[in-house]
Amino acid sequence: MPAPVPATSADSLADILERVLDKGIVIAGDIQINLLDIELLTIKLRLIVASIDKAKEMGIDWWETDPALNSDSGALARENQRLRERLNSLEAPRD
Amino acid sequence: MTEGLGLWAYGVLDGDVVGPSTPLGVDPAHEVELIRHVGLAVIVSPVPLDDFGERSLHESLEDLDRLEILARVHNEVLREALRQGAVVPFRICTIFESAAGVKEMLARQRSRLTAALERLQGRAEWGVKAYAVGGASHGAGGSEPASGTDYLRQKLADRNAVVMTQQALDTAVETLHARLRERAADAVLNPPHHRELSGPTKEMVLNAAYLVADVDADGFGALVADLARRHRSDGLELELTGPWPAYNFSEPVEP
Repeated sequence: MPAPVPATSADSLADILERVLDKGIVIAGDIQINLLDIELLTIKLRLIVASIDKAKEMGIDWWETDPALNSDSGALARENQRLRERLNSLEAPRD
Repeated sequence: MTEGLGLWAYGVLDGDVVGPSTPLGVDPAHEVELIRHVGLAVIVSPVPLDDFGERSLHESLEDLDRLEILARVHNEVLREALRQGAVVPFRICTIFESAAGVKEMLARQRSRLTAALERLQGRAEWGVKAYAVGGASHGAGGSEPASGTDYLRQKLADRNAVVMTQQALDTAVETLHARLRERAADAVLNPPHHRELSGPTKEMVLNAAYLVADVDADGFGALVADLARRHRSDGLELELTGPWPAYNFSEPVEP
């Protein structure tokens, strides 16, 4: 029996792309793909979150808890309220 | 070879291996097969050149959905091959027009590939990522400043606290990497993923690959778990992935 290899189909796309695009031995095949272009693509991929759906598949869901991006969260409203109170106290006439 | 088909090459194995357990290739109409020559074997699968010519491939690579399929299948075939022994993974989009072209490449690259395979024998790549969770703490918070001077003093204290935290974090990451490298035959540090992939509450501070002996794979996993416990108080979260085909260690190195 071969050694068991744990299922890693859940490997993140970012982890896989980083490896198959950037690493691995480079052998000249008969069909030439300009590697510089592929490297540019990799950089682009690092910078983008392609779409909300794609990002969710990749396990990226931080906007769901980011108050700036989520009106359901009360955090932003509370922060605004706190700042407004602070401003009022600063603007109040001093004794 | 059927007219209009090329061969997508995944990687190289020792020529004595039995062969892959016939998973489907990047073109799902075709299974993967082995081409043996000069004591080596290349895993390939036929691909229609209409879809896998230079121009079509460029378009495919720009389409994230298609790229994902190519990348996942390429990786999956290599991971399957890893069960049989060492494998030197090719970067994706290594395509040959015929089996003769593959054999010619093997003859030409024989010493380089053999050396790379020898280095990988009985070893696999493991990925370890560390995240700083919650970001640097901004001072102790607490009392409201009583005056403008007080406010500035508090600001300065906060800034120093952040700097200290950053230094402590760097030290923790260095220690962590040193401990893991000790346990591995080789190690590679890669740039951390972009912040947008990890989110504002988590910052990747280590993105490393380690070449670990298969017999020590469990020990390496236990070490990662142990380090994760130790460094939790530093605000570090660890993630272990693998075993991977040795993408980060596929070039032969001087002994």
